[in-house]
Amino acid sequence: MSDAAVIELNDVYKRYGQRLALGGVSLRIEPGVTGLLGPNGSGKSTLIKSLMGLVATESGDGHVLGHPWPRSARAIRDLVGYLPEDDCYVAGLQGVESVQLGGRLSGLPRLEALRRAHEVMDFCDIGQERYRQVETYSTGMRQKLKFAQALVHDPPLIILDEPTTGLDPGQREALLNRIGVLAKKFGKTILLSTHILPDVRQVCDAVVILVAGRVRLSASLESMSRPATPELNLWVEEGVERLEARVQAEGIATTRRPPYELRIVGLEPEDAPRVWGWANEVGAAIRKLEPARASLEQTFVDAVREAAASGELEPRALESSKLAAAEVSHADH
Amino acid sequence: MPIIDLGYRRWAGARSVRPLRWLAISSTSLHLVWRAPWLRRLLMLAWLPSIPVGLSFFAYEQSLQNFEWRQLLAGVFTNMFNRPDISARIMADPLEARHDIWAMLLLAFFRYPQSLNMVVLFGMVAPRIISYDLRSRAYLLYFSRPLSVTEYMLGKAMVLIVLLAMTCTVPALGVYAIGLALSPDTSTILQTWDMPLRIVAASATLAIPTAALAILYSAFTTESRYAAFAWFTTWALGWVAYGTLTSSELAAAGPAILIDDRVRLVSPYHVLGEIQAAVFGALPTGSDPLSAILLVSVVTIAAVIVSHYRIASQLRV
Repeated sequence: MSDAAVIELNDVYKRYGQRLALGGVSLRIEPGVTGLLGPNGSGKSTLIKSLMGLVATESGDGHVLGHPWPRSARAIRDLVGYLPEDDCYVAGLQGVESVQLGGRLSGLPRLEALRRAHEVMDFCDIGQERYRQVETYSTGMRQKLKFAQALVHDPPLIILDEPTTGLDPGQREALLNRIGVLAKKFGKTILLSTHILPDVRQVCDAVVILVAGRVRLSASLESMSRPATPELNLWVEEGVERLEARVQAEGIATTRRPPYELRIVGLEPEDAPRVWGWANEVGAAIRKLEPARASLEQTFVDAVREAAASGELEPRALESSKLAAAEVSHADH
Repeated sequence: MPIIDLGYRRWAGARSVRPLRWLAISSTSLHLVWRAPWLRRLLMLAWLPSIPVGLSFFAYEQSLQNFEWRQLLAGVFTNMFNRPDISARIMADPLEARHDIWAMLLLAFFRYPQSLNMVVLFGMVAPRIISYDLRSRAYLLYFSRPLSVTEYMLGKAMVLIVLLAMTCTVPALGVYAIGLALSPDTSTILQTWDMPLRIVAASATLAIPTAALAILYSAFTTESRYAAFAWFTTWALGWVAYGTLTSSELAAAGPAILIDDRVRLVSPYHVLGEIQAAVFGALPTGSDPLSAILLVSVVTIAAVIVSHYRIASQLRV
């Protein structure tokens, strides 16, 4: 096992009949929050269930939290807190009993599981509703309850499958904050499977993009946000034409979005003093200068497009992914 | 809302051993079914038949010193249990027949009221035991913990087994204890020391196959009423088929198989009864329970395998 890798999988294959669900997935998840992105049917849920040992894979090996995978799946499940995407509850139980049951199944003594259930439900902001039967809970409450169940045994690895589904904006923000606290303050490793790209941007340190059962991209969010070619974005309030001409005179390509935006292609942040110098020469007033960042949405769509180009993905999936990314991006802005 | 919120806190206590964690499923499920008032009433009713059995033990112990009691008991064995051989032994030397009499009384307790109680009790509780989990996807909650499908099934089956033990095993052991208390000397213990073991074995004979069948029906549907229908239909059809095949007119007119012991195999109730009779050593001379044991074993194993497959298939999505 490599140092610092909490999850390391090599060449994992899984088929459902003729359909390839995971086609040679290799990935490495390090401590922190990692976003698992992918269009519908890309194999995210299969990957998570495989990690938990809930579905048998055809081949592949690896390590999870130091345990050999898939051989020690039960030992791994003991160390994982899992929030499933699907609604799941034991009918007839109160919320607090449901969390207590999760604790007991993970080995907590009965009373200790009850005490711990109250503790994590406080953390998850579940008030007196904890004494109501789970069937009466709203979607948002059930999400919070599942989150509490995932935390009750204090696992070092938490796998969250679409945790913000059904939450209102305030609850969503609160949940993302809790994820951040768990990762940063308590050193939890969190794998966050989601379609909501702003959630990924807000809390994730790294991203794995899974398309058609294959890992298309696995990188830190920081490195991913760097474009393939470095660029500087400028907001020029006065003399933008003169500055553009000066830059082009140096043989450097530019693009403009009138009236004030100018993008200089091929320059690193370290080249900023040169830009200041040229602006000084031509009398341009720069209001803002920043390195250009690649958008997560674009990276996601590019990964899906690449899969579609290689014939591994239906064109319909590509269109829906573009649409989803565009909608999310629009909503985010 | 909490008066004080300390945020998230770590937990680092000692955990229970992994192979026993399925007991949490049993205790939680029992806790859930125990909330139903009808179940508590049903369990209380299920204890009532232990009173006549206790009175029978009293009658037997009286018959050791009282000839009239002896005649009464012999009449019961001839008319109710169709065992004139035991009646003759009671009249000759009731002390010598103590073991067989106790065994017959306990078998009658298991065979008539408690088997019927079991059918009703399981019919009310068992259909929802897996089907509700399938409907609400609770299996995700269970299997995201270090539990196997087998342990999950064991946890659920234990609910039925405990309920059955509460209606059959515990009152039968209670009746046995009362019998010992009423007996005039300690030789009773030497004569009947094997009864508790036979009671436990007879309970297991009743509990294991029926729990396996009930879980199978429950695992086949998300609608518990269908499972309940299948459960009651199985018993009802068995009774009707057995009754039809053994009716004297039909038996006289039909082929030889109709008057053969193998006719019992069409009815789960009678098959289990034959095995329980064998457990209590109360089978009539010449009866062979092997075919019944074989049938019950095959059905139990098949039910466990199919249920396991059905539950595990929920995860293969």
